[in-house]
Amino acid sequence: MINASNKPVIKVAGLSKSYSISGKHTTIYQQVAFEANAGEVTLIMGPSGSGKSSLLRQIALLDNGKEGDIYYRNTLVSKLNTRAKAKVRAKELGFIFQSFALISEFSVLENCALPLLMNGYSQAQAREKAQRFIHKFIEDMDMHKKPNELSGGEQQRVAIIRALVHEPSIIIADEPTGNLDELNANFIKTELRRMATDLGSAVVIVSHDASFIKQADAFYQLIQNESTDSKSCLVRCH
Amino acid sequence: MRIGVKISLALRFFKRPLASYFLLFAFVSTCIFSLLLVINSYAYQMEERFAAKQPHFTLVLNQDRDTWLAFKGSTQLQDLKKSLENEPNVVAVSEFIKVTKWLRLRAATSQISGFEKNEEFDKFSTGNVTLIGLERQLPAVIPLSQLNYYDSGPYKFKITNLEYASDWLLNPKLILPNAVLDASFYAPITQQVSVKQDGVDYKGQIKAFINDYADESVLYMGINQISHWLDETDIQETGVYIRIHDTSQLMKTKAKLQSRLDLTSHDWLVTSWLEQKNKQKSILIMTQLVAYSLIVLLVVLLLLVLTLNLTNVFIVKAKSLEILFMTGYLLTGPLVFNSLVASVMGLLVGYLFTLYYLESMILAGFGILTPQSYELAWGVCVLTLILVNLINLMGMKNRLGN
Repeated sequence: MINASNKPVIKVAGLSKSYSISGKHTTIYQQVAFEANAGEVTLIMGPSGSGKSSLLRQIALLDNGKEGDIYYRNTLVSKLNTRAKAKVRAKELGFIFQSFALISEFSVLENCALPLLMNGYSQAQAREKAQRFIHKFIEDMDMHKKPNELSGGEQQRVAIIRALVHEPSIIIADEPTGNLDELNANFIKTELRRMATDLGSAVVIVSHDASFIKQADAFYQLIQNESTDSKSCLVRCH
Repeated sequence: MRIGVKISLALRFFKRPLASYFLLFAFVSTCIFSLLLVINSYAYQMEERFAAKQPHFTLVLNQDRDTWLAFKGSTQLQDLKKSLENEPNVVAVSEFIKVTKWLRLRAATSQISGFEKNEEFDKFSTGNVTLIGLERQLPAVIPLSQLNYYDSGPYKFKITNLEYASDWLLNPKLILPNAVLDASFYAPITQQVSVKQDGVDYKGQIKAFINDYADESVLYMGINQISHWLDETDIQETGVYIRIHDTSQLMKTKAKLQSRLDLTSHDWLVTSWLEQKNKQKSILIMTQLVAYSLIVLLVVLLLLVLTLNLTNVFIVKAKSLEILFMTGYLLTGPLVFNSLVASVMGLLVGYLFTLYYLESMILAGFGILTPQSYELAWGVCVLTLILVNLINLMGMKNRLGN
């Protein structure tokens, strides 16, 4: 078990997101600030349209914002160029999505080996490590199956393996239980908790599922502020 | 991430689009190589066959007839002829007279087939015939009764009135020796000729070579003979004919001749045999234009298909592309590299297929043995390759943003 150090792995300050359509400028959220610590689960909740997924994409360096800074382990990453951001994503981040986000052209094994290849592993090393992880999580899995040949629960387990196979310091989960039955949803919740505890990763979850609140070490809510023209702002609840 | 892994992943991910990219490029480059080979072979055939006709060049004073007469009357013509004869590539030089007249030429040949059936038929055109007078004296023509059969496969042609123009064959310093060899079927023959002029018909025997080209009948005669039965007013063109050794560099020789003549005080017009044959030349130019248009169309179609293909790939694989981007894999570099390799391979396959499979067929089709240059085709293909890959790169950079 890795000792959780409680040091902030992600630090966000003054983050804003806006877009323009036909000259009309709309701000989704502004002045967002929060921290996610190593070994902790951080939950972000909020109503539909409040900008939860946009915030998550921005934190994960998938979208660029004009205002605000994002730090990973005290390093400013939001100002890096595309190539450097890609490197940071490959090394530091693991993703879990509601839609599983598996590459349909690749087999289970190839999907799971992908983050390892990104981090400089050879094909053989990556396959060997990915195989070990798959056996650990799903004993009777045919690793050569394509994602569309798997059930929803199996796909999400494969997505979890892919997210943690390269032992990232941050795990980003966007509605991870959204498409799953209760049994599989509980499995995912347990695994996310274990990722934080065992790997010492900072797990950031965006979800509607209130049952995550019990598991979360930190809980934030994106709320629409009437005094600022319905722009969302992030409020720490516990 | 290791470069080899990056490239193999991109190959694995875009296997089918890259395969279609390769096939499309192989097809288009085969089309470009073979089309340009066809047009080169056609041009080569045209130039080679027509270049072999004499005279290779016609030098005409681009001034009025009095200037020519004055030029001829002085020693300038003889000086010019002598200086041209001293050129290393020049074989023969002769002044000429050219006239187009309505003639009826008759010379019968009889054919003996395997069934021993004799049939006589007229070999020559009747109508407007170009009469060309050259060399001062008509060479001696002697009868050669022993050689009056011409074998052609199962047929045996008996050529009546066949005569052997010994001087034309044996004197290499005449302007038209190939006409004798080319016209082995027709000439030299004593033919009956009718000249229709001012309501008075001239009927008699002439001794001349006749080349019955598809577009024009040309009757070559001695310059003195033609002067006997034509008025000065009939003469449309006069000047100097030149025959050269090496016919493969016609345009180069023409430029050399022109620059030499530019030094004289007269305005000379130098034209090659092919340039005088406007119909053939325009067919050649039209064929070239059609071929070039087809190539441009092909390249535009290729660009369109590849762009659509790329767009389709991005639509179909949008989700997977997003996942790859998310996990830190920047596709543009490896993908552009793979596309470049696929297109280069397609180009090479197209070239080799043309070289080893189509070339012999195309050259045989045109009846030529000399291998043709692929320089232009390579230029077009490489340009297309660069253009396509540039569009590919821009499309990917635009779509993938890296």
